[in-house]
Amino acid sequence: MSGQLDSLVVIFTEFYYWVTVVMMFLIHVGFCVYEVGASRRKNIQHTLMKNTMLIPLVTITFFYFGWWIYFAFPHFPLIGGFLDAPFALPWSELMGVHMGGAVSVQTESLTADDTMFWARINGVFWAAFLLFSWTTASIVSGAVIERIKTQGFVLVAVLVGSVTWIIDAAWGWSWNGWMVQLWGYHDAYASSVVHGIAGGSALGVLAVLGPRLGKFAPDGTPRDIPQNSPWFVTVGLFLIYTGFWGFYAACNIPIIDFTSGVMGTEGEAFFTATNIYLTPTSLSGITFNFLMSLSGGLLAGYLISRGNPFWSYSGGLAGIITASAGNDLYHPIEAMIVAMVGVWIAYKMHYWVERKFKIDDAVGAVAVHGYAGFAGTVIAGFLLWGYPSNVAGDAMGWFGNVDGVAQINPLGQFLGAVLMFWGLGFIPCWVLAKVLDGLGWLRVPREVELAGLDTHDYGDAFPYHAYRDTSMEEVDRELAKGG
Amino acid sequence: MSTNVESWSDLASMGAVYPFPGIEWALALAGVIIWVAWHIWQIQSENGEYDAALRRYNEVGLDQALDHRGRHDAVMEGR
Repeated sequence: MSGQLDSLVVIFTEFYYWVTVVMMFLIHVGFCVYEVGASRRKNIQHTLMKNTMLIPLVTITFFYFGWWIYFAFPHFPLIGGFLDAPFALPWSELMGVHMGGAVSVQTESLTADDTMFWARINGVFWAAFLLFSWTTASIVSGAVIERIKTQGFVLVAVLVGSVTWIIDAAWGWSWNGWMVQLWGYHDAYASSVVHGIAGGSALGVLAVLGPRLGKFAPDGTPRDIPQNSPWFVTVGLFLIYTGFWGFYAACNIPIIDFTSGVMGTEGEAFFTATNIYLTPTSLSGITFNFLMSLSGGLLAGYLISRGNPFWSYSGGLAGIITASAGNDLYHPIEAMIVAMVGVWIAYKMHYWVERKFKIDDAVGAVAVHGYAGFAGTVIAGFLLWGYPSNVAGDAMGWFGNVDGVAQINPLGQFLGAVLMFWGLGFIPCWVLAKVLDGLGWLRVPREVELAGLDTHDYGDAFPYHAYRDTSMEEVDRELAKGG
Repeated sequence: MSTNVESWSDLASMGAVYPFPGIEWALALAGVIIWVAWHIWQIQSENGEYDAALRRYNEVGLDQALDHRGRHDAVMEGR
């Protein structure tokens, strides 16, 4: 690399994303701990391994095609065709250790500066997006515990983690995505881009998979299935909060000369952080908002659940998720209030859907991620109505323009939330779950579910601890007799 | 066969530095085969486990499995 300032910017950016990836690992640790805590003792190891194995499978498929999709799909392929992204193909030299100098047949369409840039940034940027992929797939994992086959789940994980979420990122979480350019869509920290689609995906699988045996009494009343360890559940959610710091940081571009690098104009350099749309924000500002939305979520979760640990902690997470769409711009107290509204919606929706549609979402994933994310995306449309959605648009928005580009607006946000939750979340996963169910790859046999998914395959997760029946064991015995 | 790098003296003009550049297509193909083969093996293995469990539960009775939930050895021995 040449030029000391350019070199420092690139190497700082490389290190910045690397740090965010390490922090985001804690999200997956948290999900694993959380799911283990929520599982009954007879299912612990199956639950753990199911979620763990999505890591390698989503990683390799994201290497093969997920990364390329992000750069190739922003123009909606059916209309705008694919964009050229030679650095993101699995056989590209730039998908490996590369000094950025020599130009080969694989990099000849890139400028020398681009080759140098991607040689340094490709791996860490890929990894940052990959960790979002793990998170999106892992959100589905919690909802379906204690009855899904690993083989079916990991195929759902590949669909969500390496195909559908990254399509929505290309469309709505990229400065040149068509949703941003035409609808004015804005979702800075992925209320719907990650959480809405994951919630919709989980709901699509749950609709086919069905509830755990015994979850609903014969009269349809939902039973509360006791968690193996409420303490593990809350520690897991604490770890997810921690990893979420890395998630927020990874959603930013840490340093860029806004004058020349974004606006493309000449003048005095102005270095700032931006969000993924290249519109300005600051790490300082989003830190206010992250903590204030966490706090709003915790306050609301505690209040609405009367101090229930699971819902209080989940409220903290749902609060951040709700405010995330606009947390690059909100005032901290706005973020707090938005978070509280989202938690109220998520909590009420969870129990309404459970009773009305007999959906057994074991960890409240559809509510915390899906409903909260959906609500937060729509709320941002009202609070941020009129802001420019991007700075480098080459098309006029359908729902209003400002400063020559599409403005953020309620209709664009609502359509975006619907497209992500239902169009790219629920529908593809419902279809895949139907196919898997038809093949017998989705749900474990009834007897195996009653005996426990660990019983035959893994054995007891706590062999030195005595077993104690809960109210659910009586239910299992009745079901075993054909009741 | 060259591993590609024999000197670090001209870093600015260097590109890929991993061994055997030019075989990326073959590596990608090998990776896809490993990925698909893993799924095939895992599906067969997991379904085989459930089939074995069902046979055993039919043999000893599901009540026996429920009595020894999580205790693989006890169910297997029919205790």
